[in-house]
Amino acid sequence: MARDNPSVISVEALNHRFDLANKGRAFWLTHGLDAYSRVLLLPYENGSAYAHAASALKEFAEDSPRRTPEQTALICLSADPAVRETGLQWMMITEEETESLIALYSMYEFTGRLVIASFDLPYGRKLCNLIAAGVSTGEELAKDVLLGALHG
Amino acid sequence: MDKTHNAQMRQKIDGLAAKQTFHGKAVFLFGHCSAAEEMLDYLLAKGIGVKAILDNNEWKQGLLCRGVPVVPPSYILDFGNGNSIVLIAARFYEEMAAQLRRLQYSGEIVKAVDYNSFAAYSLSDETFEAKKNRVLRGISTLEHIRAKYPRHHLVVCPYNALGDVYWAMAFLPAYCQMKGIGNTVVAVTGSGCGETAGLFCRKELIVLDGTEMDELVQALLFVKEDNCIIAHHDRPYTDNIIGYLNKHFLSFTDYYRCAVYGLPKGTLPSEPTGNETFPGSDLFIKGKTVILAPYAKSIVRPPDSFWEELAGTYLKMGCLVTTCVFGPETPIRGTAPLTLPLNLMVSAAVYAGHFIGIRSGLCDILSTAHCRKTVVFPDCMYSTTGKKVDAFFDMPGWEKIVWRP
Repeated sequence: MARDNPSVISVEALNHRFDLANKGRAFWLTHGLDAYSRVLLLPYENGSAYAHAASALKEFAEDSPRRTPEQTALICLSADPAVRETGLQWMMITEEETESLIALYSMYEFTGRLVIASFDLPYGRKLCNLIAAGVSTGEELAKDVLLGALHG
Repeated sequence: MDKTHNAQMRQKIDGLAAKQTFHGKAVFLFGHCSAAEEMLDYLLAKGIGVKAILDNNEWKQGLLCRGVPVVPPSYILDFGNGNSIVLIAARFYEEMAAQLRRLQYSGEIVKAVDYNSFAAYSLSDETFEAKKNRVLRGISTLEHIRAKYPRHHLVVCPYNALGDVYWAMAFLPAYCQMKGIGNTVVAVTGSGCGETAGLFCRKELIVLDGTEMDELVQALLFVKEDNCIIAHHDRPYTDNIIGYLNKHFLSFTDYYRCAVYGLPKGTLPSEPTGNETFPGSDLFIKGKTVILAPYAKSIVRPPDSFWEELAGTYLKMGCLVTTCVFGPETPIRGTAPLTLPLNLMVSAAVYAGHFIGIRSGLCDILSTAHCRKTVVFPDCMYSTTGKKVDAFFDMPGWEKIVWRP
């Protein structure tokens, strides 16, 4: 939240963000997402991370017949209907709904089931640094770290 | 455990004991770690027997800790839900409790220590309101910081660990140069971390307590604070850079260099400029003194008998042997206690001649000391990664002893 005066955080902006988090709470409860062992959120407007995550997801899906029922209790939340073609369970989510879940998750760790497929969301995530430092690639991070969390 | 968490653990156990909660029940701990060992010691000292320590790590299962076996979590199902109780003193309490529930265990699960104020697996109105208030408290702290440092780049070291702060400070100048950052202000937890940051002559430094720091971090996450970095390899929960270790390797130091700050692998750390000269002491024979550092907050440590044997070896060689102690820690038998401020440790080690320590933040602080240095590692995994502690926290150039529990 950008501020003209760094030492003052606008009450209006803050309340808007709490409202957004509350919407995230309503979304999670309404759709019964606690029924899944993993909820994979794919923020669509997220640069190269989305493309890498979508590609890694295809590979993950191809591997799915070999996983146990507990491990396959996964749902993908994405604005991209192409995710449905992976054969994985998919639910459409708008950009605002995506932001609301991320706002809720930034407010507190309300679940251990949520996996956010992004290199820099929520705020403070620093996976991009591994790419900038030349340690890893987007493809590798998407497959081994982002979607790697689905195996945990 | 640090003092606060230890006190919390004792208070929780005392409360349960006073209500006869343990009476007639098989007591289990979940998660073998240094905190669990402290809790075990306290329970045994109170005459409360512990049936077993549950642990997911197959490598640890079968070991004995103070005569108590380490077993798979499924072992709990051999005991009735009404006549057993599980105590957890671990950061991942919520996940561990959830795992026991998935195993169909419906007995009492107790959070012995609140290591993780960020997590609450609930979307109830009460939880949401409590967490909202927590964010607001953090925002109040942030506003106070920004009132004093409105344009400084805020560098937050969220965890009370000397080594984490040491490397966050060591690579900070290179990060600032890369990003074109001018002034910075550093926020740390506790006086020890404050002293560690002080080794790098940090003028703009804020020292918070654990609760204030957690709340500040949550506020930063929620408002997406500009002109700020949370400089840690493993926290908070929203950052998953530690997940890289599951299939790949990056050392502890490289985590700060590359993952936290995005610096290329060859970037050299800055050396601290705030170390002072050790003036000498009756406890020391220059060049023929051994400083033992057997204590660490968050790592399983070898028993006193290990250190006594080590001390005995050097005493027989005619060396003086001292034990680095802080607070209630006691010196190893046959050695003299040594308490020094952190800014004298490097020069004291050089004066002494030989430092032998359990892998801890003190070893990081001594990384620039030019003397004989030996690091002791327990033979175990680092946290929930599949990587050995001695590999991740390797100290290049140090002699190494790997102790198997």
